[in-house]
Amino acid sequence: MKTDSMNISLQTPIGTGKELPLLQVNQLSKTFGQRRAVDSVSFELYAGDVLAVVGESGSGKSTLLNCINSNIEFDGGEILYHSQSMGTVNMAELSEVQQRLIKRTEWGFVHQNPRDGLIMNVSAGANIGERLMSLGARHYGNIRSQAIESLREVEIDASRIDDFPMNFSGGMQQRLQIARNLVTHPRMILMDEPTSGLDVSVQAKLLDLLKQLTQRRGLAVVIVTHDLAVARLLASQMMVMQHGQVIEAGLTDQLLDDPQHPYTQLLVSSILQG
Amino acid sequence: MSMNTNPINSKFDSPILELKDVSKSFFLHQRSSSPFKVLENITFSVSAGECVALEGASGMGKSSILKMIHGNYKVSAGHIFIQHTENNYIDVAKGHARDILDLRTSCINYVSQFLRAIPRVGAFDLIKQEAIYFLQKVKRPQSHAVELPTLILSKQEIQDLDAKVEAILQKLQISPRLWHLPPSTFSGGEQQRINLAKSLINPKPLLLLDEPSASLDHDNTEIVIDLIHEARQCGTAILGIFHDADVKNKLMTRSISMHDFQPKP
Repeated sequence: MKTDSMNISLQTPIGTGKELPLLQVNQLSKTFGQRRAVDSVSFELYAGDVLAVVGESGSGKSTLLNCINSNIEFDGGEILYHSQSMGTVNMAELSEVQQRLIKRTEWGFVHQNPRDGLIMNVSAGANIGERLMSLGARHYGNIRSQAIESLREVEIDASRIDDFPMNFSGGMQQRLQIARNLVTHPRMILMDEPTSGLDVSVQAKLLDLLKQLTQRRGLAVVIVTHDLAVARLLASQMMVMQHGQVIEAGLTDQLLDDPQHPYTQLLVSSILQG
Repeated sequence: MSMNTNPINSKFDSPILELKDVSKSFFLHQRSSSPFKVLENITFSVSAGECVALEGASGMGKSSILKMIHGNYKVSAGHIFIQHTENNYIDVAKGHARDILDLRTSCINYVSQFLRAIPRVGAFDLIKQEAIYFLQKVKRPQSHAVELPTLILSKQEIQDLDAKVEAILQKLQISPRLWHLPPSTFSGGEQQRINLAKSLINPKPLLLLDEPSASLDHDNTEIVIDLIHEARQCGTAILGIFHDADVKNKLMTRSISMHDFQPKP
């Protein structure tokens, strides 16, 4: 565990008029035993970008996301993040406290299963408030009003604030998980299959909500999904993964309408027409 | 920066769109081991205030040209320059995904044959969303922004947007009963008009039209012709595919034959 922070300033003098990437992933690798789960993956994410990571199960999508969020330690490469408080930092070189602070304030993580992202035996309001309190908020009235505001944003009726998430439907639990993430006004949200556990009508509602939220808030999003329709609807850019490698990346509609790589072609031609 | 505030202020003499030696090949890995060329030697340009019609039978690659310009299809070779700001062109063939996305929000309107709607969202909101994205682009100058501010629209701005959406829906004769229903439930002609409204609500320098009147009745076709004509007179550069000869003759200022772009055997 490293305790001292090292601020690596970005060397790349990006031409004038260009923006700075919020997140830069360089040559990221992770092996489990002999298997390369993530193999030299690189990409940049800018404010307002929504990037979908697609591929079949086992292609390394979720592992990639978990490495970025430092849920899993990676073995190669680096993750540079342009933080609000510290400038551009190399995530692996931050102390655990600093990492946690960034993850709690500037990032959000939406798990596929809302149970992994919520505390099931405390109220909805407390689930949201917990994130604020971990950052030092103590004024009960403020916390409650911010929680109500967050619930409203994800279209959960404020009257449900004192109910326990275990009494919520799957779709509501997922929205609550998103509200919990939004309350600290993150700049980047990582999502792991956020809609795949939901039935079709609930999924549509959540997708619409996510689309509007990301647009209005100007959020940068990395969304892992196996559903190409979800990618088309939400993401402007897309990365296709196979065996841990990125085999094709670019504009979402270009990749879906005119795929170049044999695997992407296979993936796109396998979509059922609804 | 005066960028994006008034999209249609380009000089009339410099082209808005310029294609140079563009070709397109498809490579279907499951079917064959070599690419097959569908288009080659595409060179032409479109200036502000022009309406250029692509002429040729089905299957000659008219839609493919529009898709390459919009970035849905990869350009196999050549260049497609689109005027981004005065004296500044972006080559869609070489541009990074973010450049193309930037072009789409600020410079290109593309009316495809099919409406891609968001489930659950009503027609009115769908069109309003488009207007908000555009406003957002104008309001958030992106240079050096690591963070985009949350977009908060004033009451007045929301009222103006609503009025704009209402006006275009009325002009396109979409019955107010339908405004708040999702367009996936609409008839073909209604969907097509929603698709047009989505584009025409934000005037941009380049308008790509893929059969804008395909499933419209006579009255609605006339309305659509008027709207497109109006856009052209405001200086929009238009490249279109029009199967209906009457529509084509009323709109086009020049035509380009697809025969010139077919690969030589």
